[in-house]
Amino acid sequence: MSSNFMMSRLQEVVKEAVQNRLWNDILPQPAFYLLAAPILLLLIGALTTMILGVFKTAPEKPCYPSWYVAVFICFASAALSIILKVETPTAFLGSGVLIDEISTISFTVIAIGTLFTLMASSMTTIGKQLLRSELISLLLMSSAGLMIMCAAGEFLGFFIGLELTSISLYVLVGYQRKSFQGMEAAIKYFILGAAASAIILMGAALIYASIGTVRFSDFRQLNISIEHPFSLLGVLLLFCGLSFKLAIAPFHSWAPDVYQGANSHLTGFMASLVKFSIAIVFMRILSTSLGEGNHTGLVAMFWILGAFSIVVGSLFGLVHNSLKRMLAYSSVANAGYFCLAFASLASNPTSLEAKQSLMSYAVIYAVLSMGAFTVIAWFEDNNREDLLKEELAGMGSKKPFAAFALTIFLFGFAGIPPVAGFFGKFFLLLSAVNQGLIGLSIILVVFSCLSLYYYLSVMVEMWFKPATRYSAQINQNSETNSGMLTMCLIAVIASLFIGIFGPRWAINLNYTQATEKNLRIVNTAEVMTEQTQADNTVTHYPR
Amino acid sequence: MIDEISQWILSLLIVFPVLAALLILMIPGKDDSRIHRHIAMGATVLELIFSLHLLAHFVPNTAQFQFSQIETWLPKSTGIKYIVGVDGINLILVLLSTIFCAIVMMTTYTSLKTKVKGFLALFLLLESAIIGVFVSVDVVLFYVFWELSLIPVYFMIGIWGGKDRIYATLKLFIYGVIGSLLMLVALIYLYFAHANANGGVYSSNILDLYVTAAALPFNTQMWLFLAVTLAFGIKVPIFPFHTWLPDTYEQAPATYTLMSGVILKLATYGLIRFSLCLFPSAAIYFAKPIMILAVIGILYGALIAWKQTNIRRIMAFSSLSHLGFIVIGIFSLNTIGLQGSLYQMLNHAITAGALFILFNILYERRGSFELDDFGGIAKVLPWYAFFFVIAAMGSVALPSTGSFIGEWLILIGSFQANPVLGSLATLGVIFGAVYILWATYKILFGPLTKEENKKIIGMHKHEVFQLTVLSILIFVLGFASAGILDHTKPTLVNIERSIKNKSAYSSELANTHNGILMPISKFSSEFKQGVK
Repeated sequence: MSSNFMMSRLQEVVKEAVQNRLWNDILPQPAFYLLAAPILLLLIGALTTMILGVFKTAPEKPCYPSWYVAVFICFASAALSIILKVETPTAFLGSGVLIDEISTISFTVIAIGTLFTLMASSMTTIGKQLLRSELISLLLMSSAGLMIMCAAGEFLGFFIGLELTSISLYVLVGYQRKSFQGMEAAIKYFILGAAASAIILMGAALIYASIGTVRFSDFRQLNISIEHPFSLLGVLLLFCGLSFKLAIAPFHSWAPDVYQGANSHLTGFMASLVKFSIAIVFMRILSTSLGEGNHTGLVAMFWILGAFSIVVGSLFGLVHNSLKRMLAYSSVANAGYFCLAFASLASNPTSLEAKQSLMSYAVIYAVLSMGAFTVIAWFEDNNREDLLKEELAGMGSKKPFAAFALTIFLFGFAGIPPVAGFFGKFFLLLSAVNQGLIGLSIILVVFSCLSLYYYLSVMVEMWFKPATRYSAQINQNSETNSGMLTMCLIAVIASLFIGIFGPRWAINLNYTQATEKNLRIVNTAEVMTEQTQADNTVTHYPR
Repeated sequence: MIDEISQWILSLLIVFPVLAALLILMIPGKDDSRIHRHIAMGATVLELIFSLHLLAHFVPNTAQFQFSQIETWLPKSTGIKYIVGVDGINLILVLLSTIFCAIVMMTTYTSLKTKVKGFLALFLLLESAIIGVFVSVDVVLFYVFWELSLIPVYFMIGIWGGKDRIYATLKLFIYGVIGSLLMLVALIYLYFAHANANGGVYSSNILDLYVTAAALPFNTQMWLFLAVTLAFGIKVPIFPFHTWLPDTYEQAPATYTLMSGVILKLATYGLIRFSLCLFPSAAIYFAKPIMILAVIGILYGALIAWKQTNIRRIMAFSSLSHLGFIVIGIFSLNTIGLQGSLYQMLNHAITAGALFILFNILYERRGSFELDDFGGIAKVLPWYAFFFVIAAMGSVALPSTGSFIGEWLILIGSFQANPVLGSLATLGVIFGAVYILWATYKILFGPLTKEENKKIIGMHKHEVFQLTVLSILIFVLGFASAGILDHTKPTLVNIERSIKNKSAYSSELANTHNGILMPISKFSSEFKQGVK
């Protein structure tokens, strides 16, 4: 009796729900599952790999079933994001996920980058330590988080992505429980990263307090001035936290330790993809224009951050002997170069050139640092981790291809044509000069010469010096590793290809971002009227 | 058919050495196997044959760019295209480099002993970059090749150089990069100035930038001129920026020093194409100071060369002196001076190349570059002495050698521009004779005191061949100057006119061709007939 009643009640509820389309409020459009498939696939992959690990008897050993699944998933995700062409930019989940050209290109880069990391780490002994099923799962989760970050059109979506990435990375950095350096890196990264997340959250709270929304496209309502301390402080805190994640000086102090302590494959992942995604988030926030009127304050902030970062990165890199620490400082300098694009975007949020230069530099930097750290992992194969520069002496004759690949990537960082980095810097300079940031451009040019010196010093060790007692030891165990050779070759070809033919993909984009308005076109007329009503009834808190 | 070849010939000249380099890297083999050297040699000879097509089909009586090719390179909105072309001045420089590369490549058969594949690949890459610099009409393309030419040199000196090679190569590279980044800033400024002046249409075609640059206010022109000229001045080198040169020459491998005759010409070419043509008013303003620096370079270089005991340092300072002549000719800003400079570029490359080959022959046999280690070589190697004397004659600029005509034209040009500086530069000719004759005396003549020098082995066939070709070239340039000068004249006349009128080079070019500026693609037999 009661069960019958229950059944009929359930049927009624379902009927009501079907009639009133209640899930429209909760569930996204069906198109979402297709367009956001790269993210969803990675999340499914993360869960699958974790489950596969349960059946494994030796948890410390690489779990190949998980690896196969992960590679397949990344490949599928990359293929999907390449195939899917977005006709009209679309916003889902209340602009929590924007699917537009920027998102799809980011999905492609992130999926390919993750695939690259997975492939490369299966080919070295240190990389194989990363192939435990739970670590693969975390890697997939963090790359899903990166995709969510790149696609986010409002703060909540961004923050979920950021935390998904960051928490997975804290664990990944600290997987070597017995290594002192690994633990140091993990704890530093965790404490400072958590603090940065808190700062970002505080900034968002203050922004919410002043305009009553955290949607990026609504940030133009912000009034950034001394009279409106909430907005001012909110924006400052938000950008400080983001600068931490991008390792812009003076928020860079974690980078050298974390880069040094983490597994080299993972460092490559962090240095390229995390930075890439944060740069995209910067672009999304800045291109919505924060507040009306001129943005001299913001421009000045990025000017100072950029100059400081370039100076610190170029000077401190000179004194470090550890290859990975040196590259960490190089990445600090590169974060400073990103600031050129941020500053020009801040001074003119509609500037297409600034967006093009930012996108092309982000992708080029991702390719170069992924390649550089992969080569370093190759050098570390069967050897001590965290190599010193002197230990590379004589590599040019012992491992000519690895040395050649590293040379290409270092020339890329230095911005010497025909490697990709040249066009990256060239377009940054073009957009910065166009926005009148002459001083910062000159700082970039001058300090590029300084940082060139430490890139050259690595090449000097590899090519010009004979093998010494220390380096001989290192080369003892190294054998030809055709897998790593292929991976490095792919990265070398990619960076030379971009360097010779230019970053076409970044320039051909039109950078239209999905907004709520586009959502209304997709949705029914009914929803549209509701939305407009809802927009009109937004309560504005006292500013 | 010929038209299609003419369209693609320059791209072929750029790409072919790179392909050959890849082939060499892919073929396995030990250092002593000859196959790699044969391939490299064949590639440079083929390259030389390809470049003869330019000479055969070049139309001499016009200043327009020929054999030009325009392809889209970067997306259209940036206005940066792949544009290559040659006119009178770079035609002869391209030919010089292909001839020279083929000659220099022969040296690798004996002088190169370790890591052969890498060296040959870098050498071919260098050849490609040099030709790229000479034929680029788009400034971004030019900049890419200009930077690219630094990389092979960096590794060639760093890996195959002498004892202090690392210091020398870092110094060379960082000097070069600082200069070229300054140039990059100036070029980016021009790029935007062009967009501002043309309603937001971007272009980095140098012919468009000529128009923009000439219209800029004088102050701006001045700064841009200084940035660009400094970049080239470091690489020429002009007097106070020459300190990298002796270090480089002392430490570099033999092949690089032979090539340096051509490599230094990249910068003097840049001075003509960029500093003079882009900023005519600034060039007039700065002509005198630069001429003064050049005269200091001539005299200082010659005097210091006299006091050196190391042959390679003598050559370094002699190059400083000779390039001073070239610079003074360029900045006398008249056709005669420019003609002389361009002619002297060829002569200096050839005579310095011949001398370097001769010194290298001694070094390979005796392992020394010190003057005191030699003496009386003429008694042991009479043919060596014969070639040495010819090369020395070429260097001293005796009549009937090419250098005589070059220096003569330069001196006439500089007298027209500034008699005082012209007469001071003439002193340089005398000093130049002093140090080279002194070196000749010390090496060839004098008593044969050292035991080792008595047992010195004779010259290889390829060395004799190289020296014969270069000696013939020295005399050919001395007698058949008219043919070459006719090729360069239209362009240089145009440059002189644009400087006199302080107008853009390309508008002068348009004036001489009934207002038709640059049918830059489709240079073909039609065009040829149109000119005739």
